[in-house]
Amino acid sequence: MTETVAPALSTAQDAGDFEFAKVNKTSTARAYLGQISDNSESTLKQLLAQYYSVTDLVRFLQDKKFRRIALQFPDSLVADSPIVLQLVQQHLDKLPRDPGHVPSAQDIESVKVCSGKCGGDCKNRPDVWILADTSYSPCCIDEVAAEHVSADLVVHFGDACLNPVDKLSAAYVFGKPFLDKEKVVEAFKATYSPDDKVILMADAPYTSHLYDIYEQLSPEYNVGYAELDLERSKAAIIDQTVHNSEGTHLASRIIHFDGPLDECSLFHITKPEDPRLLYLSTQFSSMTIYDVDSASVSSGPFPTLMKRYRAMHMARSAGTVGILINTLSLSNTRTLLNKVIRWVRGAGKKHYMFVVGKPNVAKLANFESVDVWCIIGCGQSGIILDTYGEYYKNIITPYELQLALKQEITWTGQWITDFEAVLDQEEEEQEEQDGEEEEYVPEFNPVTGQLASSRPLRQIKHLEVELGSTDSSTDGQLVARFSNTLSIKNTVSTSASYLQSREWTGLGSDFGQDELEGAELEEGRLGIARGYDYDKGQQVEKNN
Amino acid sequence: MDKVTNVRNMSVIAHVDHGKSTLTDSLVQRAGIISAAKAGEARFTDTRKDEQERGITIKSTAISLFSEMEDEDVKEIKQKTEGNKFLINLIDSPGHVDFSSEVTAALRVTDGALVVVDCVEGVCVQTETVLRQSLGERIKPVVVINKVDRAMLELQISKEELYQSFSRTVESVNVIISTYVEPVLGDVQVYPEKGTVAFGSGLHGWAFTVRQFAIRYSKKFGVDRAKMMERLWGDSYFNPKTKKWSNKDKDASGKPLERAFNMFVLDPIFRLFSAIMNFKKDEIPTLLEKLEVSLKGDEKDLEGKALLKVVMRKFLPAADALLEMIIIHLPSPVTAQFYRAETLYEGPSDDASCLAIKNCDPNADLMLYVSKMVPTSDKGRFYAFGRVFAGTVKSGMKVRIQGPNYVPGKKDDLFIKAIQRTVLMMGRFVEAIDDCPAGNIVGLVGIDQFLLKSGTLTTNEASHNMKVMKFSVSPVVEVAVEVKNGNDLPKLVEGLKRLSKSDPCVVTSISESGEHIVAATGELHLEICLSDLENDHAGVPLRISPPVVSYRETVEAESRIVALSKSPNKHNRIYLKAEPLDDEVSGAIESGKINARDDFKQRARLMADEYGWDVTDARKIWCFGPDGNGPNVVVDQTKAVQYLLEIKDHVNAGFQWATKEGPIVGETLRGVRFNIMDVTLHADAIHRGAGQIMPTMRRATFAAMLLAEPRIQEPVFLVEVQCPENAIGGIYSVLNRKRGQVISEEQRPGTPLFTVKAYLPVNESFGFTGDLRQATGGQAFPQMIFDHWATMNGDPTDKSTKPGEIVHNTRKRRGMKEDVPGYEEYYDKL
Repeated sequence: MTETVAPALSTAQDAGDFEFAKVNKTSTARAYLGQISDNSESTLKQLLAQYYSVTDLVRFLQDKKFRRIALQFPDSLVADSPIVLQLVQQHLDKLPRDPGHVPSAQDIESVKVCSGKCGGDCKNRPDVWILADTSYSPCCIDEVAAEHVSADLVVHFGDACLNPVDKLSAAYVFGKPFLDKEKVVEAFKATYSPDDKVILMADAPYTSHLYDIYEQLSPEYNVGYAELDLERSKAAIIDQTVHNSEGTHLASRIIHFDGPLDECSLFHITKPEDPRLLYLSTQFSSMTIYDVDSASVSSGPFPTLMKRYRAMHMARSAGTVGILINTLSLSNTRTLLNKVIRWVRGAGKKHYMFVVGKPNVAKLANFESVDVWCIIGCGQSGIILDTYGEYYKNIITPYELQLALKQEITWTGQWITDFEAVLDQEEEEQEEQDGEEEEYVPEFNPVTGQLASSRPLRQIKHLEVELGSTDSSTDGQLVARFSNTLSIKNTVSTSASYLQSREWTGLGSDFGQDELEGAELEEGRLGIARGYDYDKGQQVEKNN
Repeated sequence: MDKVTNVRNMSVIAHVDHGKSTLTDSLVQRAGIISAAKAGEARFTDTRKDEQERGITIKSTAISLFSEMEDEDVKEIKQKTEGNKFLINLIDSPGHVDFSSEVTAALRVTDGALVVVDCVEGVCVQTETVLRQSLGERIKPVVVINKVDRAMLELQISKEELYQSFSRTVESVNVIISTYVEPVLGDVQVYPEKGTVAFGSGLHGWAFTVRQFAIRYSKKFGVDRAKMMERLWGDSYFNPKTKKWSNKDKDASGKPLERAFNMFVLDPIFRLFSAIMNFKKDEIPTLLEKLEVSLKGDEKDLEGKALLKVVMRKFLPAADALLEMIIIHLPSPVTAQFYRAETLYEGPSDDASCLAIKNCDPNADLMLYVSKMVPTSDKGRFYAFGRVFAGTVKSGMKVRIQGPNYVPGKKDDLFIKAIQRTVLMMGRFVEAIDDCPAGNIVGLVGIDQFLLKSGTLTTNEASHNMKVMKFSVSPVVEVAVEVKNGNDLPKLVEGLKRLSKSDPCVVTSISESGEHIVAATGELHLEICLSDLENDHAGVPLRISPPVVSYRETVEAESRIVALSKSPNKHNRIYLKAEPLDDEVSGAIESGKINARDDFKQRARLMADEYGWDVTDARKIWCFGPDGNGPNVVVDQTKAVQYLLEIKDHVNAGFQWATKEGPIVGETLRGVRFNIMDVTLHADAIHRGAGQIMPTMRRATFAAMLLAEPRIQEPVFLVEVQCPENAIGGIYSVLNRKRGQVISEEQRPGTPLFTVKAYLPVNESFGFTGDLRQATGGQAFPQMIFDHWATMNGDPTDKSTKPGEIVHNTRKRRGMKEDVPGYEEYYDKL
């Protein structure tokens, strides 16, 4: 008799397994700081303190007496976050509240670098947190993450959309990036002739340089420039000021230029996020983008509005609309959401609402019964523009959905992402529409050239869909059977009808389909999904 | 109409300019709808203004005619009939190759076809195409050889030459028939001696069959009619001296004998012609008396051609010959539906609806196939034009309208609506009727909004669809259209909808880059569609891009290595290999011979027997794509993979997505077989959902394709040019310049005309007609018909090759990344 060996219940791990988990350390290049003379930590600290105007920030923090402070960094600047945190904490401890303010006994007590574990001593010192991973778009204030630490202030670092948030107080630190202005002026002169009307614009951090460039160019060229529209958001701005608040308000900027903007070209320093790029390209006659790193200009290809036109048509003939929430903090989110739901329902379409965190291809492809997605998100970077057709179904904005749900096909050539503007649009519409219900007729979808029945909710009347029997007591069933019905709780469920059209309907549905003889037994795989045994074998081979 | 056995549904089909509409006129004239004088010129069935102007038929037009037969003739009908009154539902179809889809739609609702062949030009490319189509639909043909007057007056040929020309034409028609005939139809070859071939002139309004002459002479000679008919065609000679029939062309003494056909049939006609055309006034009255033709007062004063026309029309009225042929030889709906039922119906051949179709039962549940939409005078509304195959359709009746994507038991593509009115289509007019029983062709009002081009109407919930029509042509030429004035956009979209309704074959779409695309079968078709769109359907000024060709993506070899793609969560893997699918198989899938909707066991049997597939492979075809029925397949070749069936739907969805827009230029894939070699799945169902599998399948498909020597395919026209010998040089030089490839060149016997056939890439065909005209001094006019997809030599990823150049330009135009992505983009390393 041989001894029975207990089967291994867990997969053995050795040094080879940990090869998988190793992360290569990358050095972060901080081009926005300009040329760094030496790489020592102290210089870096100094430069960053300057870059983020830490002194001003701390003064602001102390003045307003915030207790719990969250510092929000976009992914590109997360590398700076520990240093900034350290600087802020140090300064909070050291700095007097006010130059003219005589420090009280309490103030002096808290001037100590403390990890927060020393007990009573530093109770009065504010807590500072880093929010490193934004739930939705990095340009917006992340209310949700801030609520996790119940912060009373969020300090947002880097480029921002300046969209107003509902509840929290916020402050913006854009940073003062280094810019070689000579090169910009040179590139500008190479691109435009003196007769062209050109507007200078940049992302929020670089906007501070625009005025200087404008000064240099204005004698010779017909230029205008953009400034941050600070009044738009209720938040405090730490490191930028406005020269002149008179001008055209557009996309969180104030533009100083005489004359209509749609005749102007746009010279944009740094490449904006796709949705903003698309939005700006609809506002100006042409666009040139100046890339700071390579000091070069490019004028396309940019995402085009014509793709959106196609998506709009797809939405017209969609039966099911998935409303994708891609922000939770922007003001008016809830109002807009309710409006969108009302529009969709009014058009006889089915809607489902989704909150999936950061959307990606795989997440959205899980919901196969959705015909078109309507994304509610920040206009700067919270909208997915599917440039290369990676997403399974089209993604549109509420404004486009609104166009799509109109009786008559309209295409304005505009692209509105701002919630308030969309809501304003809708109010105008409301007056025109009357509640007359027309006949249930399939829509012609010009994209596919086919007819599509796009109003599943109206099917009930016209197809005599049996609503699930409300009187279930008769046959003594405990649970209503949904497998054969298209309706749940008296509304049509497009998901149910989708599930019914699937070939695989659950275990046993394929039973007896193929008359295969049983396969031969062979030894299967070993290991865990991250790396099965034969993967490891190959890994070893490769390493050898 | 209620006596279905006395109904004949037939279409008139032929090559362009062989005289269909003109011939139809003589039938219409018999019914008293147009005057005799106008017949032959009015072209009653060409209802559109541009049809009249251009002198070609564009849309098929239906007309119902009533006819009475002599009792004696009725006896000869070999199928069941009642009484001697007959209803003929006739559809005149366009002959130009670009409008073949109209012919297909016409054939579907008819049981018989009148094939018109030009006596001089003989059997042409479109004659062959329409014959093939009609036989595929199990439609019985009869032939009329038209424009005999032209042969006699212009070519001045002798009787024997004419006979030879006739017999050659009949022979070449029979060759085509025997190539494509379906065994169930029995012998459908045409024989002049059986009366299934007529000869005549549509323009002059006369025609005859051998049978008519046989009747004349059988009285005279007192011989049996049937015997006489046999003697009047073929190698049968009459010796006037001995009054004996023989089958040798010489008598006992070696003197040549005259062929019976020439002597008894052609001789009177030739004599009339020569007498009238040579103005031998004194001969004419005696001749007329002999032939029992009497002229009215003012007709006697006519001379030359005009007189000839009147005399011939009285002597041998075309309508008599044609009606006789149609009624005696074409099947009634009852006869025809018996053998057509199974090819018409998608469902099992033993269910109630199929049996009702088979028996043409007017009391069964309704089965009606709408084959096309006919515009009404009310703008934007259409008559649904179709045929009742079973049951009876009534005004006000509530019916189930099933679109082409309807699946029994599901609610997709299904509407329940009442029919407002039923009408009879009479050329440009309609006549309201109360009801219409099985076997008839009918127009319906009030259901046009629920169908795009075609569909099935039924009253039985269990009914499957009638089979969808497959067109022999493919919309391969496309243009982008846009409105000149932005405010007109809604009108354009509405116009595009109407356009797609009104034409069976045109396809409208919006490209990835957001342009409105109109795709048609050829330049002429496109031109007509666009002018309709601009002037009629949309009614707004348009900007139209130059035409471009649509391509297909395919592979030429098996994938070099197994393509592997990992799911986004890295827990699932698909191992895929691509290989080319036989051109024959691709063709069979496209023509519907291998149908995704068929039972998989039957399909596997067919693929094994006819296309050399392995049966187990064929049974394991998971799906066809794109659109669930395209010429690309996924074959499951995995062994013992757990949970595999669970992901079938996701694999299918990902495959449809990938085949619709391929990796090279975003065109549809064609002729690629994907073998799933292995699949690794996460044990937990939540980690192998649609979101993980679908994008992975798409990536794997792309990777497998890019690893298998990807190629692009371009559409190729078959070009047929008829011209005199001296123009051939010009044709060759133009073809050479345009990458054309000559496949045959032959002289049409008895004429100085040459027929050149060649393959010409559609891409090069723009302006071909003009170039040809220029190079040949206007002597050559080409007929171009979509023939096949040809794989272009050269790597499409390499910009220096021809396909590479096309790919590069197309990608640029569509706003894609300019270089074709490498397989590495979709391939994941282990």
